[in-house]
Amino acid sequence: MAITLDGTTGITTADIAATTLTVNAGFGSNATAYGVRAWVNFNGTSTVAIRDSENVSSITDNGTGDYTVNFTNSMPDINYVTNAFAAFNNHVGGNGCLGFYTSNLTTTSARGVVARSFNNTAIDATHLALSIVR
Amino acid sequence: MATIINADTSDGLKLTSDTSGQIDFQSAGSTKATIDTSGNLKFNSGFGSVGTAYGVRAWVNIDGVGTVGINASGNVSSITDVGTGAYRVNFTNAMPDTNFVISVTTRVHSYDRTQITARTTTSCDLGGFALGGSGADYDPVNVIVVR
Repeated sequence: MAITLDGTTGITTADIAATTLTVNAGFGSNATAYGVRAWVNFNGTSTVAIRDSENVSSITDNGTGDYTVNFTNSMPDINYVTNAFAAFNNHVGGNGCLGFYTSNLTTTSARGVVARSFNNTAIDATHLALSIVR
Repeated sequence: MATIINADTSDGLKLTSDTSGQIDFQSAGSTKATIDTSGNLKFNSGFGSVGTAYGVRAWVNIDGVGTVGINASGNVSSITDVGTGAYRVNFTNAMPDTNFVISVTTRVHSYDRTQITARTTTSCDLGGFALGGSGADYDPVNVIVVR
């Protein structure tokens, strides 16, 4: 059964029965919004350190440029999507971007990610950002 | 003692405000979440204060190897295979304009890159390509659309 919250022009439908949240928030009309279920900003050099995060319990350092992001609360399955971005302070040209990819490790409780430099070598990066949507 | 409000079995439950009002959800005497008159949903969730949260309007986990498939998705009706390493994401419900944000992440392969090649309100084209510019298929291809 739908539950309607009406702030006149605000959210008009939060369809609990269908487990969807419908919200405007600049979209132009009320439309379904999906959730960011976990995110983390961490330093991957030296001793790996989390700057800030939500629903991330820890980062495992598996080796150069190889990390496992461990979730506090598990995902319902392994089909979530991952957004990853990395920056490396000491690259030629300054704060250069490099590749940050998912690895073969995908479980409901953890996501593996790997960082690569411009010449495709594994590299520890200072700023690594990851978000999970499901 | 918790207070339980049961939605009517046919008409549901409605919380309303007047034309200038907003709806606040309060606990322990302070607002924890708000729906304002512009339709913004505001909550804390570690943000530090009650702030507007914007929506992920579509997402899809693409199996781009062989016959293209969808591992899981939200607001995505289908994926069109438009070439090696090139995919069209078709939205179930259209975006209001073409100014939405797209994020694409693939599994590491060999100096891979991704790109967005076209977008409309009903779809976006994206691709994965290896060093040298040749197209490359991946599983998964992670796509997030925010608007």
